Amino acid sequence: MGTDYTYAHGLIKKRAATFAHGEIVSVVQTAPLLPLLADIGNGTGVVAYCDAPSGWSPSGYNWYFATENDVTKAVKKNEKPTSIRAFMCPGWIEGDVVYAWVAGCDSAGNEGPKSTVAQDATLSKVTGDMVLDGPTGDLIPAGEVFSCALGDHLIAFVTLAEATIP
Amino acid sequence: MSAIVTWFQVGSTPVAGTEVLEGNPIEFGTLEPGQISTPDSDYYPVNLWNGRNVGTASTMTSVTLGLSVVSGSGNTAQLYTGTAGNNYQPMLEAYSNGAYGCADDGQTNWTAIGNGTRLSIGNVPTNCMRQIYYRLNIPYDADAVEFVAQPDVQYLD
Repeated sequence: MGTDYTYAHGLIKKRAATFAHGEIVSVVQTAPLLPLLADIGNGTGVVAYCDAPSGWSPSGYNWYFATENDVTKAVKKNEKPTSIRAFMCPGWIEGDVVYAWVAGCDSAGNEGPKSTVAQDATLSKVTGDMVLDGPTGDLIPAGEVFSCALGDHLIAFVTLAEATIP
Repeated sequence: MSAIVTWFQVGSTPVAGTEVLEGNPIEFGTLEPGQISTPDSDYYPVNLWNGRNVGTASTMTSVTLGLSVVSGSGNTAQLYTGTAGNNYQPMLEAYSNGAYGCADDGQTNWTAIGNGTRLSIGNVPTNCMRQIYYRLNIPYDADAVEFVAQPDVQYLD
Protein backbone atom coordinates (compact mmCIF):
# COMPACT_ATOMS: atom_id res chain seq x y z
CA MET A 1 0.00 0.00 0.00
CA GLY A 2 1.33 3.43 -0.82
CA THR A 3 0.53 7.07 -1.24
CA ASP A 4 2.16 9.47 -3.66
CA TYR A 5 1.65 13.16 -4.23
CA THR A 6 1.87 15.77 -6.89
CA TYR A 7 1.60 19.52 -6.44
CA ALA A 8 -0.85 22.21 -7.46
CA HIS A 9 -0.71 25.95 -6.98
CA GLY A 10 -3.25 28.71 -7.26
CA LEU A 11 -4.49 31.99 -5.88
CA ILE A 12 -8.11 32.59 -4.95
CA LYS A 13 -9.08 36.25 -4.77
CA LYS A 14 -12.29 37.78 -3.55
CA ARG A 15 -14.68 38.44 -6.39
CA ALA A 16 -14.91 41.99 -7.60
CA ALA A 17 -18.22 43.77 -7.13
CA THR A 18 -18.62 44.27 -10.86
CA PHE A 19 -18.77 41.77 -13.68
CA ALA A 20 -17.06 41.80 -17.00
CA HIS A 21 -19.30 42.06 -20.02
CA GLY A 22 -20.16 38.57 -21.18
CA GLU A 23 -19.13 36.93 -17.96
CA ILE A 24 -21.22 33.93 -17.02
CA VAL A 25 -22.00 33.79 -13.34
CA SER A 26 -23.41 30.57 -12.06
CA VAL A 27 -22.59 30.10 -8.40
CA VAL A 28 -24.59 31.56 -5.59
CA GLN A 29 -23.85 33.15 -2.26
CA THR A 30 -25.34 31.46 0.76
CA ALA A 31 -26.26 33.17 4.02
CA PRO A 32 -26.60 36.79 2.82
CA LEU A 33 -29.08 35.56 0.26
CA LEU A 34 -31.75 34.67 2.76
CA PRO A 35 -33.24 38.16 3.17
CA LEU A 36 -33.81 38.24 -0.56
CA LEU A 37 -35.48 34.88 -0.49
CA ALA A 38 -37.66 36.06 2.35
CA ASP A 39 -38.83 38.95 0.21
CA ILE A 40 -39.80 36.97 -2.82
CA GLY A 41 -41.18 33.85 -1.29
CA ASN A 42 -40.47 30.98 1.00
CA GLY A 43 -37.64 29.79 -1.18
CA THR A 44 -39.32 26.71 -2.51
CA GLY A 45 -38.97 26.66 -6.26
CA VAL A 46 -36.59 29.57 -6.43
CA VAL A 47 -33.90 29.06 -8.99
CA ALA A 48 -30.62 29.14 -7.17
CA TYR A 49 -28.60 29.19 -10.33
CA CYS A 50 -28.28 27.62 -13.74
CA ASP A 51 -25.20 26.42 -15.53
CA ALA A 52 -25.90 27.51 -19.07
CA PRO A 53 -22.66 27.34 -21.02
CA SER A 54 -24.07 29.43 -23.84
CA GLY A 55 -27.30 30.29 -25.57
CA TRP A 56 -30.58 30.56 -23.78
CA SER A 57 -32.89 27.60 -23.49
CA PRO A 58 -34.63 26.54 -20.28
CA SER A 59 -34.38 22.91 -21.30
CA GLY A 60 -30.83 23.01 -22.59
CA TYR A 61 -28.99 23.09 -19.31
CA ASN A 62 -29.37 22.41 -15.65
CA TRP A 63 -31.45 24.48 -13.28
CA TYR A 64 -30.68 24.36 -9.60
CA PHE A 65 -33.57 25.03 -7.26
CA ALA A 66 -33.29 26.18 -3.71
CA THR A 67 -35.36 24.35 -1.18
CA GLU A 68 -36.45 25.07 2.33
CA ASN A 69 -35.32 28.67 2.00
CA ASP A 70 -31.76 27.46 1.92
CA VAL A 71 -29.76 27.56 -1.27
CA THR A 72 -27.10 25.38 0.24
CA LYS A 73 -29.67 22.64 -0.27
CA ALA A 74 -30.15 23.47 -3.92
CA VAL A 75 -31.20 20.50 -5.98
CA LYS A 76 -30.54 19.95 -9.64
CA LYS A 77 -33.44 19.56 -12.02
CA ASN A 78 -33.66 19.53 -15.77
CA GLU A 79 -37.00 21.20 -16.08
CA LYS A 80 -38.47 24.58 -16.64
CA PRO A 81 -39.05 26.93 -13.75
CA THR A 82 -42.71 27.15 -12.87
CA SER A 83 -42.85 30.38 -10.96
CA ILE A 84 -42.15 34.03 -11.49
CA ARG A 85 -39.66 33.61 -8.73
CA ALA A 86 -37.60 31.61 -11.11
CA PHE A 87 -36.49 34.92 -12.48
CA MET A 88 -34.56 35.78 -9.42
CA CYS A 89 -31.35 33.93 -9.06
CA PRO A 90 -30.17 34.52 -5.53
CA GLY A 91 -27.25 36.82 -5.06
CA TRP A 92 -25.55 38.62 -2.29
CA ILE A 93 -25.73 41.87 -0.37
CA GLU A 94 -23.18 44.65 -0.41
CA GLY A 95 -24.15 47.65 1.63
CA ASP A 96 -27.70 48.58 0.73
CA VAL A 97 -27.65 46.72 -2.57
CA VAL A 98 -28.87 43.18 -3.04
CA TYR A 99 -27.30 41.56 -6.07
CA ALA A 100 -28.91 38.70 -7.92
CA TRP A 101 -28.76 37.04 -11.31
CA VAL A 102 -31.60 36.78 -13.71
CA ALA A 103 -32.50 33.26 -14.74
CA GLY A 104 -34.52 34.07 -17.78
CA CYS A 105 -37.84 32.26 -17.73
CA ASP A 106 -41.29 33.59 -16.97
CA SER A 107 -43.98 31.86 -14.98
CA ALA A 108 -45.02 29.86 -18.03
CA GLY A 109 -41.51 28.65 -18.62
CA ASN A 110 -41.03 30.76 -21.72
CA GLU A 111 -37.50 31.46 -22.75
CA GLY A 112 -35.78 34.75 -22.30
CA PRO A 113 -35.86 37.47 -19.66
CA LYS A 114 -39.37 38.66 -20.44
CA SER A 115 -41.28 41.30 -18.57
CA THR A 116 -42.59 39.01 -15.89
CA VAL A 117 -40.16 40.48 -13.42
CA ALA A 118 -41.93 43.79 -13.77
CA GLN A 119 -45.06 42.29 -12.30
CA ASP A 120 -43.34 42.30 -8.96
CA ALA A 121 -40.80 44.97 -9.52
CA THR A 122 -40.27 48.33 -11.10
CA LEU A 123 -37.64 47.59 -13.62
CA SER A 124 -34.95 49.95 -14.69
CA LYS A 125 -31.66 49.55 -16.41
CA VAL A 126 -28.24 50.27 -15.04
CA THR A 127 -26.23 49.92 -18.19
CA GLY A 128 -26.81 49.27 -21.85
CA ASP A 129 -29.66 50.44 -24.03
CA MET A 130 -32.01 47.45 -24.12
CA VAL A 131 -34.94 46.68 -21.89
CA LEU A 132 -35.99 43.35 -20.51
CA ASP A 133 -39.46 43.51 -21.99
CA GLY A 134 -38.30 44.79 -25.35
CA PRO A 135 -39.52 43.73 -28.76
CA THR A 136 -39.35 40.15 -29.94
CA GLY A 137 -35.92 39.34 -31.23
CA ASP A 138 -34.19 41.94 -29.10
CA LEU A 139 -30.82 40.62 -28.07
CA ILE A 140 -29.52 40.92 -24.54
CA PRO A 141 -25.83 40.10 -24.25
CA ALA A 142 -24.49 37.89 -21.53
CA GLY A 143 -23.27 39.90 -18.60
CA GLU A 144 -25.81 42.69 -19.07
CA VAL A 145 -26.46 44.41 -15.75
CA PHE A 146 -29.97 45.45 -14.73
CA SER A 147 -31.50 46.72 -11.56
CA CYS A 148 -34.97 46.74 -10.13
CA ALA A 149 -36.70 47.66 -6.91
CA LEU A 150 -38.17 44.77 -5.00
CA GLY A 151 -39.67 45.54 -1.62
CA ASP A 152 -37.16 47.61 0.26
CA HIS A 153 -34.27 46.31 -1.78
CA LEU A 154 -32.58 47.54 -4.88
CA ILE A 155 -31.62 44.47 -6.84
CA ALA A 156 -29.01 44.39 -9.53
CA PHE A 157 -28.68 41.30 -11.62
CA VAL A 158 -26.65 40.05 -14.54
CA THR A 159 -27.79 37.94 -17.45
CA LEU A 160 -26.17 34.54 -17.37
CA ALA A 161 -25.99 34.10 -21.10
CA GLU A 162 -26.87 35.85 -24.29
CA ALA A 163 -30.64 36.04 -24.60
CA THR A 164 -33.10 36.88 -27.32
CA ILE A 165 -36.50 38.10 -26.19
CA PRO A 166 -38.98 35.63 -27.64
CA MET B 1 8.99 -4.95 -5.66
CA SER B 2 6.67 -2.01 -5.33
CA ALA B 3 4.95 0.59 -7.46
CA ILE B 4 7.04 3.51 -8.75
CA VAL B 5 4.76 6.52 -9.07
CA THR B 6 5.56 9.68 -11.03
CA TRP B 7 3.44 12.55 -12.36
CA PHE B 8 4.16 14.17 -15.70
CA GLN B 9 2.79 17.01 -17.77
CA VAL B 10 0.52 16.36 -20.71
CA GLY B 11 2.28 15.00 -23.78
CA SER B 12 4.83 13.11 -21.75
CA THR B 13 6.02 9.90 -23.33
CA PRO B 14 7.91 7.01 -21.78
CA VAL B 15 11.16 8.63 -22.92
CA ALA B 16 10.45 12.35 -22.57
CA GLY B 17 8.35 14.87 -20.73
CA THR B 18 8.44 17.21 -17.77
CA GLU B 19 7.70 15.90 -14.31
CA VAL B 20 5.17 17.70 -12.14
CA LEU B 21 6.99 18.51 -8.92
CA GLU B 22 6.82 21.01 -6.10
CA GLY B 23 8.83 23.42 -8.22
CA ASN B 24 6.70 22.71 -11.29
CA PRO B 25 3.18 22.35 -9.90
CA ILE B 26 -0.15 22.13 -11.69
CA GLU B 27 -0.76 25.84 -12.06
CA PHE B 28 -4.34 26.98 -11.62
CA GLY B 29 -3.44 30.65 -11.74
CA THR B 30 -5.63 33.34 -10.23
CA LEU B 31 -9.27 32.49 -9.61
CA GLU B 32 -12.25 34.17 -8.05
CA PRO B 33 -15.11 32.74 -6.00
CA GLY B 34 -17.77 31.49 -8.36
CA GLN B 35 -15.21 30.57 -11.01
CA ILE B 36 -14.33 27.19 -12.47
CA SER B 37 -10.70 26.89 -13.43
CA THR B 38 -9.79 26.70 -17.09
CA PRO B 39 -7.49 23.80 -17.92
CA ASP B 40 -3.94 24.82 -18.76
CA SER B 41 -2.65 23.01 -21.82
CA ASP B 42 0.73 22.60 -20.16
CA TYR B 43 -0.67 20.58 -17.31
CA TYR B 44 -3.99 19.06 -18.29
CA PRO B 45 -4.31 16.20 -18.14
CA VAL B 46 -1.64 15.20 -15.67
CA ASN B 47 -0.13 11.85 -16.56
CA LEU B 48 0.04 9.47 -13.63
CA TRP B 49 2.73 6.87 -14.32
CA ASN B 50 3.72 3.64 -12.64
CA GLY B 51 7.19 2.29 -13.36
CA ARG B 52 7.76 4.80 -16.13
CA ASN B 53 10.68 3.51 -18.24
CA VAL B 54 11.41 0.92 -15.54
CA GLY B 55 9.01 -1.85 -16.37
CA THR B 56 9.55 -3.78 -13.18
CA ALA B 57 7.18 -2.04 -10.80
CA SER B 58 4.26 -3.73 -9.07
CA THR B 59 0.80 -3.14 -10.48
CA MET B 60 -1.09 -0.47 -8.59
CA THR B 61 -4.53 -1.75 -7.55
CA SER B 62 -7.41 -0.25 -5.57
CA VAL B 63 -6.26 3.11 -6.89
CA THR B 64 -7.98 6.24 -5.59
CA LEU B 65 -7.37 9.96 -6.05
CA GLY B 66 -7.75 12.50 -3.29
CA LEU B 67 -6.18 15.50 -1.64
CA SER B 68 -4.00 14.95 1.36
CA VAL B 69 -1.77 17.79 2.41
CA VAL B 70 -1.98 21.48 1.66
CA SER B 71 -0.41 24.65 2.93
CA GLY B 72 -2.24 27.57 4.41
CA SER B 73 -5.04 27.53 6.91
CA GLY B 74 -8.79 27.31 7.15
CA ASN B 75 -11.33 25.69 4.88
CA THR B 76 -10.01 27.23 1.71
CA ALA B 77 -6.50 26.02 2.34
CA GLN B 78 -7.96 22.56 2.58
CA LEU B 79 -9.61 23.21 -0.78
CA TYR B 80 -13.06 22.79 0.59
CA THR B 81 -15.52 25.37 1.74
CA GLY B 82 -18.62 25.73 3.82
CA THR B 83 -19.75 24.36 7.12
CA ALA B 84 -20.83 21.08 8.58
CA GLY B 85 -24.29 22.02 7.32
CA ASN B 86 -23.25 21.67 3.72
CA ASN B 87 -20.73 18.93 4.37
CA TYR B 88 -17.69 21.06 3.55
CA GLN B 89 -17.88 20.97 -0.24
CA PRO B 90 -14.54 20.07 -1.88
CA MET B 91 -13.28 22.51 -4.51
CA LEU B 92 -10.94 20.16 -6.37
CA GLU B 93 -12.50 17.91 -9.01
CA ALA B 94 -10.99 15.17 -11.14
CA TYR B 95 -11.62 12.36 -13.59
CA SER B 96 -9.52 9.73 -15.39
CA ASN B 97 -9.70 9.70 -19.17
CA GLY B 98 -6.94 8.47 -21.42
CA ALA B 99 -4.32 5.82 -20.77
CA TYR B 100 -1.06 4.33 -22.04
CA GLY B 101 -0.47 0.61 -21.77
CA CYS B 102 -3.74 -0.17 -20.02
CA ALA B 103 -7.46 0.09 -20.64
CA ASP B 104 -8.80 3.63 -20.45
CA ASP B 105 -11.10 4.44 -17.51
CA GLY B 106 -12.99 6.66 -19.90
CA GLN B 107 -14.44 8.81 -17.14
CA THR B 108 -16.11 12.02 -18.29
CA ASN B 109 -17.82 13.40 -15.21
CA TRP B 110 -16.04 15.69 -12.79
CA THR B 111 -15.96 14.25 -9.28
CA ALA B 112 -15.19 16.40 -6.28
CA ILE B 113 -12.30 15.03 -4.26
CA GLY B 114 -10.72 16.02 -1.00
CA ASN B 115 -11.84 16.30 2.60
CA GLY B 116 -12.07 12.51 2.79
CA THR B 117 -13.84 12.08 -0.55
CA ARG B 118 -11.87 10.04 -3.11
CA LEU B 119 -12.26 9.02 -6.76
CA SER B 120 -11.61 5.40 -7.74
CA ILE B 121 -9.73 4.75 -10.97
CA GLY B 122 -8.47 1.61 -12.66
CA ASN B 123 -5.33 -0.40 -11.93
CA VAL B 124 -2.03 0.97 -13.22
CA PRO B 125 0.35 -1.80 -14.36
CA THR B 126 4.07 -1.21 -14.72
CA ASN B 127 5.20 1.24 -17.41
CA CYS B 128 1.61 2.34 -17.83
CA MET B 129 -0.03 5.71 -17.46
CA ARG B 130 -3.45 7.21 -16.76
CA GLN B 131 -4.38 10.75 -17.70
CA ILE B 132 -5.94 12.60 -14.78
CA TYR B 133 -7.86 15.81 -15.35
CA TYR B 134 -8.03 18.29 -12.49
CA ARG B 135 -9.95 21.49 -12.09
CA LEU B 136 -11.05 23.80 -9.30
CA ASN B 137 -14.70 24.69 -8.80
CA ILE B 138 -14.58 27.69 -6.48
CA PRO B 139 -17.73 28.29 -4.41
CA TYR B 140 -18.85 31.85 -4.03
CA ASP B 141 -18.14 31.84 -0.31
CA ALA B 142 -14.56 30.66 -0.66
CA ASP B 143 -11.97 32.63 1.24
CA ALA B 144 -9.17 34.50 -0.50
CA VAL B 145 -5.97 32.48 -0.21
CA GLU B 146 -2.86 31.44 -2.06
CA PHE B 147 -2.56 27.70 -1.83
CA VAL B 148 -0.14 24.91 -2.59
CA ALA B 149 -2.14 21.71 -2.70
CA GLN B 150 -1.05 18.10 -2.95
CA PRO B 151 -3.42 15.94 -4.98
CA ASP B 152 -2.57 12.37 -4.07
CA VAL B 153 -2.97 8.81 -5.26
CA GLN B 154 -3.42 5.91 -2.86
CA TYR B 155 -3.04 2.31 -3.97
CA LEU B 156 -2.19 -1.25 -3.09
CA ASP B 157 0.92 -2.81 -4.65
